[in-house]
Amino acid sequence: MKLTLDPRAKLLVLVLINIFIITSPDIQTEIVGVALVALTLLAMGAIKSFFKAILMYAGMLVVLSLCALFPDNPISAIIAMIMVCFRKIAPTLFFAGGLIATTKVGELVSAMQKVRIPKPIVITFAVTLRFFPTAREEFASIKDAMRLRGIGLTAGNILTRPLTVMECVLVPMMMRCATIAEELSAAAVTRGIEAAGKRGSVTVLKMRPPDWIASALFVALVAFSAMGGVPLLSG
Amino acid sequence: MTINKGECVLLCGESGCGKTTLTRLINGLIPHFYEGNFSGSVRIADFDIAETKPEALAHIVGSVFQNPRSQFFNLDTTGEIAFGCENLGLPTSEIRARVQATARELGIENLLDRDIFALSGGEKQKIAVASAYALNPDIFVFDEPSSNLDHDACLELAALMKTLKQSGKTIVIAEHRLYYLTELIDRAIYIKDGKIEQEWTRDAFLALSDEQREALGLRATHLSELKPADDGRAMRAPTTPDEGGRAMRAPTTPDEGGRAMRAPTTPAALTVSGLSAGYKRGKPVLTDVGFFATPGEIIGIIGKNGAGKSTLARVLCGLHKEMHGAVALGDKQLKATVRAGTFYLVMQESGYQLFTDSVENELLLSASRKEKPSAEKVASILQSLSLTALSDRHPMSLSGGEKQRTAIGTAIAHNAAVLIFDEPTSGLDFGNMCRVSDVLKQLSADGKIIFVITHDFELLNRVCTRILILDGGKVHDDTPLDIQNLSHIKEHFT
Repeated sequence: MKLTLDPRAKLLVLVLINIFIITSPDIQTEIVGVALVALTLLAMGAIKSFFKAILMYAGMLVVLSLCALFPDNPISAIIAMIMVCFRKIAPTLFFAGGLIATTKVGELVSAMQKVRIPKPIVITFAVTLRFFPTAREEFASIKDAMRLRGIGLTAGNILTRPLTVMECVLVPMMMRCATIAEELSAAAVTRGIEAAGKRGSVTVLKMRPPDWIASALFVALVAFSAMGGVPLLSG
Repeated sequence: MTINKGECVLLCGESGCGKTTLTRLINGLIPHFYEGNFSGSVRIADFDIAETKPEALAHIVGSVFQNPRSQFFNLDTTGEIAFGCENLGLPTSEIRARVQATARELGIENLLDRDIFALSGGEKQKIAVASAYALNPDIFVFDEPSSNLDHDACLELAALMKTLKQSGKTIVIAEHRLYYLTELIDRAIYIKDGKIEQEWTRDAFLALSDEQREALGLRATHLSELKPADDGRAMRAPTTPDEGGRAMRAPTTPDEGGRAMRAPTTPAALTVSGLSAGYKRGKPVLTDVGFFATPGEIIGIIGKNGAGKSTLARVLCGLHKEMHGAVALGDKQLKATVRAGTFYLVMQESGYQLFTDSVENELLLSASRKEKPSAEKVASILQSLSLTALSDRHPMSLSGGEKQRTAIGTAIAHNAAVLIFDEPTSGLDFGNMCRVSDVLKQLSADGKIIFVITHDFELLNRVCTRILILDGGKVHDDTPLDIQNLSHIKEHFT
């Protein structure tokens, strides 16, 4: 049984996770938060995002404890610093990934309209989301083209001639993106995207009990971490 | 000119003649989206285009464009069909009713609630028609809608257009490929250098002789009347495995074979045997594909969507590793990792393959890892592809055909022995199609082995000596292209 959450509830949870990360006092509290995020992903049916979250977070913890074994080594210090940064943004990224995977663009757009986010921002956001799969397709084609020319995206090439490799990725990518952006805008204009007034929506949004429960859980999580987190329990 | 209600009008003419501009005047993209000099007036129904914003035209004129990749706003089909209605602020119940009605009337219920990125080109184009249809416009404008479609998808698109016409819609189509529209159009308008030159009724247009049509630079209107170019090339190709085998054994005496290996430019024959390939999930896409090709052959690869054409190309070029089987050039077996480059793929969209800031540097880059080609070699390649005058131009400022020739040039500079072309003539007018076929023949005369994946029956007839028909991941037929076999091959195009 899959839990379908209202996109507004998902957006609220996303904001709450951010607040939680800022207020979280220590790593134990953070782990509690990540566990809640992971369970929510599982309940939403975002199985892939769930496993990704668990594995990546565990990996980061392992690397961090390895770094702690060499406290005086500058390289380990740099790695630890980068890892901590990643660890801090990880819960947000995990949930955002699940959000995208389980929400249609149309739903998200109408949710954003319901909470009165201005139209230009909503449209920009929708186009950005729509762009990721396109960019992935384009990138795959460019990668093939590079391999045919003997400048494949291999570690050897990236190390020995990074500038050439970068040029070969960026030049066609930017040119293709510019073309696509123009064609996409033209198509949208002919379908009335610039029409004034309120947009309609094919989906009807309604906050139901599960939405309130999920929101309440994350509000509780923020409150818990703001009051002191895990140390509060032990001390 | 005047287009009446319920009429179906074809706009034809060479690339760059102004067909697309004319369609943009009808849907209001000119002057509101693309700006420039504008004089005169366009009236659609009772609206003056210059004073009507595109959003006010959205429910009067529906547009379908060339590239299915870049005309969608949503990631799912239902959301896409609803998109226009949402923009105009219709109530939810009305939007839903319209999406359902659209799907029913156009017969695409099976495409609802699907991931757009997983659809085939033909299905995407149907969704594009549906999303315009949902706004219930009286006029439909198509701008080269078949450029990225295979033969079957073209026919399905034509059927969809027929449905539109029967429900009284006015249809304007700018197009190069004409044969799939012959049943549909009422009138054809020929544009040259931005002016309307000629106008025919359907019957008069279809009665044009081949000479008249080709002089105007137009593609064939009847596939059934095409014949292979009759210069006896087809006769030279090895026709049976046995003959092929003999041709292969001949040059591989130890002595000759050794020489061939030292000089990679010496043409060597290609042997593909027992090739199977697939992706992580699902059945193998190719099973036990085998064939033989000699230098100078131009082999057409045809087959339906999903028959394995593009996978075969990717495997030959080493972009995708085979599961079983072998690919050998001369007597030297080549692993997938070393094939990239020796087997060169000229992609349908050449824009991906150009990386530098000038045509000349593009040719120099291609071989930079081993040895740079000499200035004379680059000059002669540019000369042979009529690119000399463009050698300092930025590749992105070139036309589609020029980009394609530049990509071919990089393959030659790369000493590629086998060139595979993926739909080299999609969206090309007659003149440009002829140029492509001339380049292919020239490459063949230089001893390259050439494969052409195409849905373009006209091109096949002009250049190919032999046809490989793929079906369900197998070589269904391997046959020389000559008069005797023509009707058999044609079955795949009608």
